[in-house]
Amino acid sequence: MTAPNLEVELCGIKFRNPILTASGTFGYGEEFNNYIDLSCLGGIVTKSITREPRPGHPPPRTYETTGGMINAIGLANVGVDRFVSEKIPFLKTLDTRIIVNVAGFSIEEYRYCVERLNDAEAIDMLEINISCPNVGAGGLEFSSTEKGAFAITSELKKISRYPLMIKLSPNVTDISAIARAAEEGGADCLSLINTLVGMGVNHWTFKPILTNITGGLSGPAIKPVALAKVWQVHNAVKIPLVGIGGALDHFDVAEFMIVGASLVQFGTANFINPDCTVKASEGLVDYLDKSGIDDISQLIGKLGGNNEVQGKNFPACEGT
Amino acid sequence: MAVLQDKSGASPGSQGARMIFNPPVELVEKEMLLPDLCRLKLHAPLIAKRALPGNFVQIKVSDSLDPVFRRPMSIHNCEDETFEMVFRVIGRGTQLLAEALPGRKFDCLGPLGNTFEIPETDETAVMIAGGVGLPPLYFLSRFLIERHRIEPSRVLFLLGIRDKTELIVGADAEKLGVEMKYSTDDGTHGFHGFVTALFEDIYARRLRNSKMRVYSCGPTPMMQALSRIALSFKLPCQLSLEGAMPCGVGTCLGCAVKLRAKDEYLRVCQEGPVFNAEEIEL
Repeated sequence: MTAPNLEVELCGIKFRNPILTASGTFGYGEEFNNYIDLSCLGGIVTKSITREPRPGHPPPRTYETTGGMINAIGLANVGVDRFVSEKIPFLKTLDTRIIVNVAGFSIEEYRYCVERLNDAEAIDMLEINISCPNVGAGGLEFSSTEKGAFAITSELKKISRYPLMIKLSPNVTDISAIARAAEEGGADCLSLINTLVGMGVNHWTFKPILTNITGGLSGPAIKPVALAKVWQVHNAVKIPLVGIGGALDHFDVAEFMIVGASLVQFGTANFINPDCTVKASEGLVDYLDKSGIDDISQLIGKLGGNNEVQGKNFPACEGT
Repeated sequence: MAVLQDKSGASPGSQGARMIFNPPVELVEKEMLLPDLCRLKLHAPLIAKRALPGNFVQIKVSDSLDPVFRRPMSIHNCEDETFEMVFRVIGRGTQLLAEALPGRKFDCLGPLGNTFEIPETDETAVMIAGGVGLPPLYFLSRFLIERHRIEPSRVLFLLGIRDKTELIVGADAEKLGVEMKYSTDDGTHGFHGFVTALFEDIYARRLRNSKMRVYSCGPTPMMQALSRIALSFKLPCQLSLEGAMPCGVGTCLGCAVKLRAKDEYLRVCQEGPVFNAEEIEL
């Protein structure tokens, strides 16, 4: 019996498997290099890069909460120029796909970064972060209105030599409308969801836990929200989707794919178990074998109705 | 200034030489030193072989997602194939650790982080610990005495505790034969007041003209006060910091500490946990 095919094609790019690391949870790849075999990943999404270096918010920046965490790191990063000179050389040595996450506070800033990255090597795709909840102004307007999402996407599409993945926020009234606007603007694919706005309060001191007061909630607590958003957007657009939000293992990958994602990013899980992505890719082989599926792409968007059973060979009680 | 070296001669604190081990570690001994003070001995040959004073581990206290993240724990001691942690039970994570029984296995990353510098041959090593900030300083003292052949008399150990019922916290350090001084918040043993005030008192009376190197670990207000003292006396001073540390390996950027000189942050887990007092702003 041959091993099931884990390879997934997205925007003309072949990914070894559907597992990516989410921006902000994997540094620039180097931090995990002594720990896991990075070539086991479908790809790495790097920490958000802005035009200028950013120190980030004063601590405390993170707060552990039930089933997840709230963070307000504040887009701390080395800036695009140092990213190209200091981080790209390492990324070039890796045998996996590299997706660079770009953030900004104006179209001009995004444009500067994209043009600078156009000259770099080793990059397969850009993820445009228009949805960071932890910065005071700028970026969010692009994900909170259809006009903004269309504008940033169409502007960057004109100049990027890479396919564009637009990262959407769940903190909007109608994510499907924003997704359609990005699609009309020329997005090659969409990733969703970014973190949900949350906060923590110290009931003894009456003070907020985070210096920034609010932050982004991530981790397994948000997986049901993320699944719902991916499913809604899958029904609203034709371009491929990348699911993000609380994935911990191979079953979560399968669930995101079933509701419409082609790839799945692992975020907070990297903090819990640094080898979660490698274990998930191994687990997918076993899952597909047990399911009688020989190609993982067969999962994408195959959500059944209440009375249908799409999968095969499912264990009678597993997952209940 | 030299950094410490492990038994293989490597210095894991230096960038590029870092190794992270992830073996299951087994609890072999547990002792409740006080109702809320726990000592665990864990069988972990790789960690015990590589760990240096200042290093820490990230231990997963639960097989479930409650709590979600590992807990950073400083290393109190290493012997043969085991290492020890001494900690106060303050929350869900430490409670679960303290409830564990021998035989229980934990997923554990380590050793992580950098290490302390060793003192010059003419320097007195002054350890200033606040309560359960003691473990990294006990490990350092023992390491200096046993591996660097530093006379115990060259180590002055100051320990601040709440009251005399917590004297057990300093029991291991007492056995090293170092000069041991206590301060208590309520004056029931030793110096009445904060351990930083005890240090100022001893400094004024007898250390003013001595060469010394100060090492500290404890609550943030204590280390803020000590930083001010060290800077004003121009003393070399290293602080071992704690931090909200979801990942422990340098990627989440949660455990940030601000540089004194510029608007930049370092990571406690990666560039620390040991920092020179003059470089950071607490």
